[in-house]
Amino acid sequence: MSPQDTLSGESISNEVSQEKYHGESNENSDENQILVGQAPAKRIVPPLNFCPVERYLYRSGQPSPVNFPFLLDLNLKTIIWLANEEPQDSLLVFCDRHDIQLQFAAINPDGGEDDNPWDGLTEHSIINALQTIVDQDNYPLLVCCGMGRHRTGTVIGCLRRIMGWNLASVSEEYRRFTGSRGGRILVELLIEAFDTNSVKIDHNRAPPWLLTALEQPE
Amino acid sequence: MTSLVAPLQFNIVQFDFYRGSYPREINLPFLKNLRLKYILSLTPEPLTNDPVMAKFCDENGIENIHIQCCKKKENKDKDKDKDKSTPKVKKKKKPVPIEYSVVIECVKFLIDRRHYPCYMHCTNGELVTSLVVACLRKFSYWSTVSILNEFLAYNSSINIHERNFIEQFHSEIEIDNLNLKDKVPWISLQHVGWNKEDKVQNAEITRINSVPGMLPKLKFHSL
Repeated sequence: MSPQDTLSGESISNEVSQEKYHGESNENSDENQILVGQAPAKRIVPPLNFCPVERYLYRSGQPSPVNFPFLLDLNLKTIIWLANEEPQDSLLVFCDRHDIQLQFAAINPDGGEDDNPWDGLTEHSIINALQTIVDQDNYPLLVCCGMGRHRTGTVIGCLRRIMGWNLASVSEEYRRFTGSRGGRILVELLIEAFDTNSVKIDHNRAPPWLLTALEQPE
Repeated sequence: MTSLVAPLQFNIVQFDFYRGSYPREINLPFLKNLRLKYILSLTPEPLTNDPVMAKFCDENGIENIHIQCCKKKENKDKDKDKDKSTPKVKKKKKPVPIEYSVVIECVKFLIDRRHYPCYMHCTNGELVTSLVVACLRKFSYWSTVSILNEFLAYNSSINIHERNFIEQFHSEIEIDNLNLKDKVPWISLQHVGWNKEDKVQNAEITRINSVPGMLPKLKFHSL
């Protein structure tokens, strides 16, 4: 494939630049892409609360079968599922069939029987999820939980902290995805208290946008 | 490490395409990190009227594109060079703050992948930007429910006029002088992959039928 990303000026590893996400690859010669003369007969349905977070990193609520064609377009390599319970069987089958690695990040892995689905994430599970997120090898990557609100918001919020975002900006983003009942103060406290040094970032494996964020002047 | 302050309602629409509210001085270090090439302003006045922003754009080689909208009624004496000379007719308060012409102008600009990274903003990053993004999603064939779901993340509610504006958007847009290889992929391009996948053996996949004739179209003249 000829050089891509003239658009962004960044160079990313070959592995990722060969991904054929309909929204991103630039080459018109790409044989898997066609120009649509007419609108397709089926609509594309992204999952609930779907949003791109950074390049090849997405967030959403639990994907259901109507969302699978869209997910195929994203060409996902990994899905991080932030819950104690298993996702719907259809998602398990889907991941299995399309070679998507489904990573379980239980809310409280050490909680055993005392584990409640409405509990916030523990620091341990946040770090676990972030450790996957800072590794380019896992991309394209989707982070999701039941509704894509609080647990996903916690992890993305902590990621924004690592990227050096102001806490107010982090909270604003978190609350935007929490629906009409608004954000939970406990989640915001968790994000605020999160120790950004607890995630080990290997600069050779980190995604380019993370490196850009980290190299900002003191 | 200084802390970065994102503009209100900031988010990513597509890779290298950002949205948000009117940028303020406090947002500049953040915006600088995005390595922008263009800022697309859907505001009454050009962004560069603000000396701080003009200086920022100048120093960072960012071009400002101004598509005028939501301009308050005023006397004709303040003429801007970029203004389209639209004849002033007295109007009732519009049901939505923008016309389709604004969306069309945006599409004509955003279809060119050389115009990225790009930050698109209106005044508060809510209604105007959301309406334009909603219309853009129709070029990616998103279902209406998904489009409205996204809209509601930035607006506390949606009224019938806004909904109609989005649903009734099916303009045919003429695109001149654009080589197809310079078109961004997410506008009117589709992955063939999942058509092949869409077979019986993929029983777990469910598809939503679309209503024909309700989508905007592009017409290329450069081919």
